[in-house]
Amino acid sequence: MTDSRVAEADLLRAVGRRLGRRDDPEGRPALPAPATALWNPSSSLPDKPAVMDRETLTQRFLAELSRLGGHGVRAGSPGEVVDYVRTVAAGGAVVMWDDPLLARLGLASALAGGPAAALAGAPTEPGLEVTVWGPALGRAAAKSIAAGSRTGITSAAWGVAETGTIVLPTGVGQGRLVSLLPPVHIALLPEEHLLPSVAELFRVLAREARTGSALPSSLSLATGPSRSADIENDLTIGVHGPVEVHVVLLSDTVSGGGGLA
Amino acid sequence: MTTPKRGPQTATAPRTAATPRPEAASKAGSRASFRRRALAALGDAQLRRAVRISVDEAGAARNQAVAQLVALAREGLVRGDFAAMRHRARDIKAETIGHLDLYLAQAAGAIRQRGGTVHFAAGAAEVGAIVRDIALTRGVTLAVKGKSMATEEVGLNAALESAGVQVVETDLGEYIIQLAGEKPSHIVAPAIHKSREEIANLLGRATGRSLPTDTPTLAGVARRVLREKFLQAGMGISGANFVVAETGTVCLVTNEGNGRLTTSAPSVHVAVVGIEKLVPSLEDLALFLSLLARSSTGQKISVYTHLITGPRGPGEADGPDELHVIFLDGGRSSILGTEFQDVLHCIRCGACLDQCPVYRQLGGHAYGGVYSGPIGAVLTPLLGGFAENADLPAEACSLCGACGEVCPSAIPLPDLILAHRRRMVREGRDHSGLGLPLRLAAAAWTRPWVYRASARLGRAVLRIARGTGFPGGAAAPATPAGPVSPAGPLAAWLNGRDLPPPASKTFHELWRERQQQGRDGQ
Repeated sequence: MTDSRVAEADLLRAVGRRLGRRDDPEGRPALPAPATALWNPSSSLPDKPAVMDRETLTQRFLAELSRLGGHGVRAGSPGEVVDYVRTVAAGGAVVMWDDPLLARLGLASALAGGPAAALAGAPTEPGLEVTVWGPALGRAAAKSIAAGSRTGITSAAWGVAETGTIVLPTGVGQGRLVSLLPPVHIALLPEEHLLPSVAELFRVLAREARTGSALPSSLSLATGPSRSADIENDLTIGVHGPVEVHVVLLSDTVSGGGGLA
Repeated sequence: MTTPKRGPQTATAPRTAATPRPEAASKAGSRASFRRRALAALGDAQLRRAVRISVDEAGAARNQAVAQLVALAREGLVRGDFAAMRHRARDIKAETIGHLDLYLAQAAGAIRQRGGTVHFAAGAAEVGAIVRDIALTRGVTLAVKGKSMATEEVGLNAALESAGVQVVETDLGEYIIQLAGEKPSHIVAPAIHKSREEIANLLGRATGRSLPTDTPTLAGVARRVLREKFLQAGMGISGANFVVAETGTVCLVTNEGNGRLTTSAPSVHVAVVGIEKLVPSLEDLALFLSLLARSSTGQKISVYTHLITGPRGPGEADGPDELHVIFLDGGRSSILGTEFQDVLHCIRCGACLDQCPVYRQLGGHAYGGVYSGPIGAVLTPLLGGFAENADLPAEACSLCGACGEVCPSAIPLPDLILAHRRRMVREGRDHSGLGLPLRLAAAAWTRPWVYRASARLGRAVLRIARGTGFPGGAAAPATPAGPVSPAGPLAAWLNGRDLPPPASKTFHELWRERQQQGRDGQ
């Protein structure tokens, strides 16, 4: 490690010297604290936060998502969520996040044909093979379960109306591969978590990162299904990531929301 | 640049007519010159058709996406129109590059605080040694790699393969190029010069099957092959589109999802990052994401924007155990403090390639380096040696200025190309022979009577030339094959151009007539 520290000091000193900085007798240059004293980051965003009413946010998000070949639906009751997810996920194994929103909807047991299915008034049909993500799976098994599943179900932390983007965090129950390896991805997004623009999303992320709630180890902004134009500029869907992306927008009654800060 | 003659002969023109004279080829030393590579590209009709279609589509998509910013700004969704956005982009980069040592130290600190390991590498040898060491001490035999220009620069694949580590490119275009044993020909679309027949052959050879040429089948085959690699690989290697200094976040932008897979499935993630890739904060990143997607593909935002802050957290069942960020100098620090410093503002969007009339005719391989197009003409001589690459700014540019207009970081590319040319002349590397004629022209044409006399003379010469078998003249053979090229100094110039018929009247004559008519009409 000493070697790498030497390389670091050398490089930083070389850069500083080229920029006309005199060598600091202390060795390494230090950034004046706070860092933002040098720089006003908010000037990279619109001066005023964009405001959009709920209906505009929702319609715009759905329009953008569909323009990209994604599927978006609105669900006004838990039963509608379960029905839609069951229809899309039918005919293959399911891997899903262990997170409060999915748990509250009882989605795992509903799909597997458990008691929640009866609650939601679902017809009795053979249940799907459902795995709920978590540390107990172990690294190797988690990977092969995600790779062997047809459908991955997650929630989304935010949605962006401007672009049809969903924002996928990572956590103990929220695996990266759930939204990545299965050919079908279903994301549940509370309508109250829709933001007008990418700029507003980053306004929120930056505020959170500065006020103590650190960024997750992985945060993915996903906008429609995976695509490539690498073969003669011919657009093709689903090269590496999911081929099908479904976003179920949840009304406040379904998400239990209405009190979002 | 030399625009090829229009007409049916273009597609089938034998290369004999395009063979450079030996002394022209030898000027750049033993290395093949830009001129030689350009002539090879001009003779490749398939390549030129593919490149033309691709850049025209990308350029049109970019123009449309950039125009939309006006309406979005009115809604308050983006900072401003393109001019305002790129003005701010330039400010962000000027701030970062102008205090690069401070921001590098800040980024390194933030990455370490989140459990990542930071390395600093002076050049290719150091990057190779660091990555080889990480791979070998962890028993890695297979690595998957996301698209990264920085690793192309340092030839990382070769360094790893010589140590027994197989490296598989996972971007579809890069994978095709790797199978072909070639280099990317475009920053964003590395395989634009390949036809679907060639791609079907390459993928067919890799899988031992004979494949149809439709896009869904080919993409599906690549997906299956690469999926296995993702799951088996012990290491994922990526570049970075941006690194946020404040949070230590590595940002990867892809459309296929290979960037996410590369950095999520294997247990070690190594990111090789040019030191100029920093931005101060997440807000600054937001602005660049919007500009990058619009400028490179005409999208509002790329399909996947992946923000990586440290290795996986405790209890997370996937994601890398280790995150290594290697900051690569690779000649960048020597650009700091020079008149070329602004080239470090480049975000590798490829917009300048898509708008460049020279690139549109040649594709990327003619530039002979990792970076092609206008950015390559400026950057390659700085990173790869001026003496070996001075012919790029000298010859691969018509100074039309389109690149400077579309650059989302407002890099004054035409000015930097001119700066290279000034340096060439200063260092006595200008062998074009244009110095004396241009000085004479300047001396003569600043005197009106000399200008008028030379215009009359020029028209007389043109009339005579067009009546002869002179190349470009009306009596020249339709196919410029065989020894029709005169060995004169104008041959190289005339071979690529139509000689227009002289106007029946000069501008001055027309002007006099109009004045006369005006007086008569009163």
